[in-house]
Amino acid sequence: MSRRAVAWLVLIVAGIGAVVASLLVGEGALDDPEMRSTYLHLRGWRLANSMLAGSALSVGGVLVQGLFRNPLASPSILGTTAGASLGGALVILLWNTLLAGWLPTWMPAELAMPLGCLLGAWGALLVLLAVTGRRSGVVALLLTGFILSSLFLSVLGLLTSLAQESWELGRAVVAFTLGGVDTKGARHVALALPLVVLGTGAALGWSRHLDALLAGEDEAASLGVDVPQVRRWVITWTATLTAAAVAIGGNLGFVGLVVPHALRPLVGVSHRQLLPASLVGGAVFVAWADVLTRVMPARGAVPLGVVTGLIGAPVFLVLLARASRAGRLG
Amino acid sequence: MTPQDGLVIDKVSAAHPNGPDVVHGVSFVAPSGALTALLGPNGAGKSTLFKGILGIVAARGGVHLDGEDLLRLKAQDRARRIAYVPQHTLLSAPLPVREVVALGRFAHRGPLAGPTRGDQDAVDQAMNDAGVSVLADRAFTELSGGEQQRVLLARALATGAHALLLDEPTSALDVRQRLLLHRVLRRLAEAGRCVVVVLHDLEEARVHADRAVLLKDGRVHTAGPVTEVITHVPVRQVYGVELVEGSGLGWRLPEDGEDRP
Repeated sequence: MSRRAVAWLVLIVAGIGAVVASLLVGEGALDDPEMRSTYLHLRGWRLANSMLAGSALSVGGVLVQGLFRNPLASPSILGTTAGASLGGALVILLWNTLLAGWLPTWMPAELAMPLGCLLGAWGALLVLLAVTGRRSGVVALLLTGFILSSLFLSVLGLLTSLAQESWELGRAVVAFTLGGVDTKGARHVALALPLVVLGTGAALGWSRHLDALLAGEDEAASLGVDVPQVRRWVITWTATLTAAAVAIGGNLGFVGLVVPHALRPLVGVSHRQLLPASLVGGAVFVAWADVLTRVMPARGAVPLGVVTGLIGAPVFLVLLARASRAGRLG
Repeated sequence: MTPQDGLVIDKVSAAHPNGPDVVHGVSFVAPSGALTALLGPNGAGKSTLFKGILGIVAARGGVHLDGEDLLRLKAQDRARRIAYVPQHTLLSAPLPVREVVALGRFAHRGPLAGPTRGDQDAVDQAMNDAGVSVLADRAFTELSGGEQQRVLLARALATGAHALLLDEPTSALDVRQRLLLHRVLRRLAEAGRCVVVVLHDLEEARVHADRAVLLKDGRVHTAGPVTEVITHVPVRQVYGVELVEGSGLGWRLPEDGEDRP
């Protein structure tokens, strides 16, 4: 059996395991016949949201890694996730303060929040490109991403403290920034699913362009790739996917880094193989991470982003150390 | 006037992105069926001229291939007519050789279409012509410099382009790999393609090329048959060295056609 087949087998088995574990594990016992269907219903939607967020982030990771020709890039490391969080929080604030008297009551902030996430993610990527240019080294890219991320999170912190003036508004902003899929239901899936389907479909459509870009922009151009056009669209779809993920799961770090990295040696670097595998791999990874949040010893719930960070950050450090030893930084 | 056969470069100027011109009004003809060497010291503008011809950097002037203006074409249409082998590839991903060569078919395929029979045949033929068929399933990053260079040549051949531009393809190769590459280039020229090669080594140019274009400070100093270009006066004026006739050693591949020592 080829490595690719083994990888898919593992993904499918782990995926089935994640579905079963997500439905069985959690507060509240399933042997209570009255509550059983309620628990299963809640856990089912929670599972769907975690899988969607994971897929969106890991496909987004593959896209930015292709765009920057750098396997250390990911939406969270480049500040795209933080930008989306800031955009989403801004919309919640605006909706509940300035626009509160103008809008019909059937239009809750939740409907416009993904749009704020999208604009935030987009803006973050454009600022990143403007600051680093396209040919800068790994260190400049990672540093700029880190600083942008800090900046966006600082502004977000400021907004959060401003929002505390109103108890309800403060709670809404804090709940959004903490993220997590535990309270997410069908409405969130309905909002995010079209974005993830669209973004992933588009990513697959650009896979040959991204393959050509593996050889750098000059060579890709000589092969007939319209490089500026690819760059525009890849940024657009990365922003879309990141926005979808942040809108349903909040700030989940390192998913877009860990999943494609783990899959590349198994399914290969060709995007036609890597993208579908990352779509499934991201869903499986975040679904398991969400199961972990329920079994971790803690008072109250452990945020989902904490678990993905606990797994992802060490992986990132190992990759960074390896790249540094191989002289690939700079 | 009938359109000239081959690549006609007419008063082409080109610059690095956001920089001043480094190529100033260069004109020469690289006929089909011949191997034209582009020569000149470091910084003479050879690579930038190539990138201008390929539309990678902005260029002004006329670039015609068999009468067609390449600078007016879209990237995808241009890529089917003229192909490029870079001096150093940035490809550092372990893509299988066959997939690297298949990237040469990029400009022939629709946005969502899979590879056709014709695409696969073109890839097989290109790998065969460049002598890399045996490497098809190896990862590109595991190959030696000479093997990588021939894989990149195969990728350029897979485009089906009539003209080929190679930027110092032999500078990192040992003598045997160099001769193997020149044998492939010679066959391509004999098959009627227009081959333009940047070469660093004047001796190599004199042995393997038919014609030569000598650049100095972004301008053509001398152009014509290689035996007329690599002579005392131009070499002294451009490189600041004296040509010593009959110097150096000569090399050739063994007659039996064996590809391995």
